[in-house]
Parts: sequence; C-alpha cells; structure tokens
Amino acid sequence: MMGVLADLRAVGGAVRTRVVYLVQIARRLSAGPAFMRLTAAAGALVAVCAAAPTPLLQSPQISMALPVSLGVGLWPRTRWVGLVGLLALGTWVLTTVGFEEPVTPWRLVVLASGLYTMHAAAAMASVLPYDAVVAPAVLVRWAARTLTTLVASLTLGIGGLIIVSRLQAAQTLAAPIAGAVVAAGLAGMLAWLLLRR
Amino acid sequence: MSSEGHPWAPTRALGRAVLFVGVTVLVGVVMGRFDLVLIAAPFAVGTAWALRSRPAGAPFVSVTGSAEAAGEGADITATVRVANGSPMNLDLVVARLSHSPWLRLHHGDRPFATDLPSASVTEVVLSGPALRWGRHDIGPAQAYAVAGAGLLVAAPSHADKTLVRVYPHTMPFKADTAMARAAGLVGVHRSRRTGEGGELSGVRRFGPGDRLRRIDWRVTLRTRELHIAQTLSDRDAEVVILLDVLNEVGRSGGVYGAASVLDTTVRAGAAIAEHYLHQGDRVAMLEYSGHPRHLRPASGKRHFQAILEWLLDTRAVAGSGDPPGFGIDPHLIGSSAMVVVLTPLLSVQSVEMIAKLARAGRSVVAVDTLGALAGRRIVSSKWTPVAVRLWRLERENTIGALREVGVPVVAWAGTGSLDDVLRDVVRMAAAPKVIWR
Repeated sequence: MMGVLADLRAVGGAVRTRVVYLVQIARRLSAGPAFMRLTAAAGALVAVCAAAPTPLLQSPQISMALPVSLGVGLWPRTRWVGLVGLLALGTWVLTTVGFEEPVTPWRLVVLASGLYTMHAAAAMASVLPYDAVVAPAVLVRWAARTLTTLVASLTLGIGGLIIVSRLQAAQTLAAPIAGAVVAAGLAGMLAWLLLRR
Repeated sequence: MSSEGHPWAPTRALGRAVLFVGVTVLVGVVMGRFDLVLIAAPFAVGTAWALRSRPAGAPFVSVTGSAEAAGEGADITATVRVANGSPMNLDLVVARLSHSPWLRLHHGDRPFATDLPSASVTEVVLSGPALRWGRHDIGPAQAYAVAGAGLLVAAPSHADKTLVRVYPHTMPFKADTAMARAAGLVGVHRSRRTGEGGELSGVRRFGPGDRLRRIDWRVTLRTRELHIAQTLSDRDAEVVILLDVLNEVGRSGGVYGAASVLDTTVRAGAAIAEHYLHQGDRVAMLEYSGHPRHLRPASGKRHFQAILEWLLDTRAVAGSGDPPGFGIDPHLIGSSAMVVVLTPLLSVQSVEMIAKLARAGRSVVAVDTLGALAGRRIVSSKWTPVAVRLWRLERENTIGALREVGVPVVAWAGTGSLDDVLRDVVRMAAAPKVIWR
C-alpha cells in the first residue's frame, strides 16, 4: 500500500513538474513564433477540411481535424507535419475516388494552398525558438515569399489542368509516360539542388 | 568566433518537401491524376526556388560589453554583432546571449531573430541595470543562420564571453572624529595632498562631503555661490581597511535587495576608503582569506579607483586550514596605522587575528558586518532555538573578549557608525601602553 502511494506521489510530482514547465513555456511564448505556429495549424486545418468528403464535413466527426491541426502548431519540428500532409492527400484521393466528388479548381487551390502554407510555416517555426524576439521584416519576407510561390505555381498548375482537361489524348498511354518523365525530372532537379556544393 | 563541422545542413522540412513531391507525383502518375501534380507544384516550385543558390559560409558572431565601469544600479550595455560574409541574403539569423544573473538586460533572456542581407552586419544592443558589484560575464553568445525559407540551417557560431566591471555602491559614511595617530606635521614640508590642515591651498566651489566650517563666507557673498577654503593636509595618517572574507553569510539580493556579509564588507570598505581619501589620508587594503591580497597605502582620487578595482576581485574563499594562509604579515601594517577590520566575527581565526593585531600595538577597530543577519529566524528542529541562543551567547562573549584586549566592536550603520569607537581609539592611542609580545 505504501509502495503504491509512493508511486502515485512520484507520478503526481512528475505531472506537476510537466505542467509548471508548460505554463512557463506559455508565459514566455512571443508573438513572432506564435504567429508562425498558428499559421501552420490554420494551414493544416484548411487542407484537411478541403480534402474531406462532404458527408464528413457536415458531421460532428470533422471536429477531429482541430486537434490534428493543432499538433502541427505544437510540434512543427516532428514528423507529425509530414503525416498530416499525407493524411490530407490520402483523404483527397478517397474523396475523389471513393465518394466520387468532382475535382473543382477552387477546392484544389484551397487544398494546395493550405498544404503548402502548413509546410512553409512549420519549416520556419521549427527553426525559430518559441521565445524569440522576431524582427517584423522576417515575417513580411516569409509571407511575401510564400504568397509568390503559391500564386506562381498554382497559376501554372491551373493552366495545366485546363489544358489537360481539354485534351482527350490524355487518356492514352502517352500521358502516364509523360507524367513519369516529369516526376523523374522533378526528383532529379531537387536531388541536384540538394547535393551540389 | 567559430563554427563547427559542415556549415550548412538540410532541415527536416526539406526532407518533407522532397518526400511529399515524390509521393504526390508518383500517385498522380499511377492514377493518371493531374490534380495531384498541381497539389505538389507549390512544394516543387518553393523548394527549387529556395535551393537555387546556397550561402557559402556560416555567420560570424561577436560580443562586446561596456568598456567603462558602471556603478551598482547603473545601466550597462551589451552588443551582439552578427556578420554575414556570404554573397547571399540569410532569411533568418537567431542569436542568443548568455550573461551573468546580476545583469538585468532588457530582453536579455530571449533569443533574437532577424534577417541578414549579404555582406552586412547586424547589431543587437541590450541594456539594463547591473544589480551587484563585481566582474560580470557577458556571453558566450551563439548564433545560427537559416536559408532557403527554413530548408537549410547553418552550424551554430560561438563568441567568447567578455567581462564588464561594476563598482560597489559606496554606502554613506562620515566620521567626524580625528585620527588615532595623526599628531601633526611631518617634517618641514607640507603635504601635496589637500585635506584637513591649516595651510590654504585655494578656494573652490562647495561640493558634497565638504564641511560647513570650511565655507569661505567672503567669497560666497561676493559670488552668491557657496565656496570653501581648501587646505593642504597636515596629517600623516594611514588607514588600513582589512576585509575579513573567510565566510559568506546570507543571500545577496543585489543593490535593490538584501545585502550579504560580502556585500556589506565590500560596500563599507569602499565607503570608508572614499571618506579617508577625501580627508587626504593614505589608505591601504588587505584581504583576510585563504588567499590574502594587499593593496599598498596611497592617497588621492586615482588610488580610490585602484581600490574599487581591487574590491571587484573580492571573493568569500575559505582557506585550506593551512596556518600561513591565515596569517597577516605584520610588515604590511605600519605601526602608526589605524586598522579598520570589517568582519562578521564568525570564525575563530578572524577573532585571533584581530586580537593579535591589537596586542602588537596597532589601533584596531572591528566593524561587525553580520548586521541583521545575526537576528535572522531559523526554523528547523526543536533544538535549533537553543543552538541559536548558545551561538549568540558565544558571539557576545567573543565581542566582550575583543573589547578586553582593546578592540572596540561596532555594528556597521553607515554615517557616523565609527565616531564613538574612534573616540575610544584616539584616547587609547594617546595613553601610555604596554605591548605584549
């Protein structure tokens, strides 16, 4: 009995220490890093909701997206960010294939924007200490860069989507071959950029 | 300044972007879905744009502190400089500065994040009050840079620490009583120092610490501003301030908080030295500890600066118990010098040393630096009050024994705290005495 009480006391002490630590972190959290983490969490929420099928969006189960997205803001350095990205992607495939919902450009743009915003904000949040005093120029520069990337890539992508939707030939064998070449080219380019001195 | 290992490394975000592009495009190709390629497009474009050029080297960081010494409570400045020698802009540089807890620098406990254009230097200036006397650390500092929108991070660069000097706050002190053995003129030459005397050296404006009886009323009425007649010192008095720092008691709260024994000792030492140097006397400093230190007797404002510098290195270091370590070389104290011992009267060695000086014929005054700490309540076991009572009785006994050998003991209370005991010392110095050897 005494041993159990001692164990409970030790667990209580550890929980208390952890809570005190979290309170200290919350007190020291500064505006710049908090903004980046909130942006990452908001991006994740937008992406998951945009990818979810309409019946799920209209049900109370969609509230599960909130803790999943908050995890991105809380742990931007971990694999959780990548898992949430893949979860949104898998949900999108399920929505369009399983639920046979149409691929509308606006929904695609919202999903792609949410995913990239989550990734870019988590990348910055992961290298920014939570209590750092951040110069406003850093946030302005990041926002401008992210917006430019999104506008440029989505303009190209939507243009490509329109062209592909008008080409009946895309249903032939040539399309997957061309896609595979593009994918190999993209992977090769990224690998070269990464490995070069 | 240094940077360790390979300067730039990919972050987890880069791996995530490459993985996401690969998986999305692969699934898109397999399923014949162009919409998945569109989802991957911002990741591919953003990563390619971020990695189009890479910085050559890590940033350099350096730390500087205020070169001028500050007083306790005064503001000091610390500057962290981060330089980007690379021809590429850095998206983010995060610099963190460590510093002594006795420096309350504004935002000094937080890292700073800023962008850094190519071939430029950015400075973060932190300032705040120094809370305690001493030599305080500023640094080491650490800085790391981030490029490619968070996809590349540089190995951290380090800067060594630097020191800032903070002089002790000189507590208000004034002693009106004459010196024990300042009998009059020495030789036929006047002293070059100004101080108490009869030979006029000039007339100057009234300043803090000047005596009212020195006011020159004729000049004052003519100029409508207080002036005093300054005289050359007639005295040949030497004051030796002996700091007993064998023990440290109490927790220092800095200049705005409670004073420990060491704080009281150092601040009182500075105040007494300033007072007697202002009078034109020669002041020497001695440290009674496991590692004794000595500052030769001298006078003047420059010597006061030397005393303040000397006090900065005061530490409460108990000796190893080796007898020579506790001894005070009698040659360091002149036979006519007045010795002011600042002591908490806590160790037997200190009490024996004071008694030995008195028996050797020196005029000794013991100033009790324990102060209010002696009356501090200690709550522990039921025997603690009894032990505390016994300790107090023993201490009163020690003080009584010191008085018996001719050492007046007085508690440090700032202005006028030595007047009563100095009168006794003057009387005793004038009387014929037997010296025990």
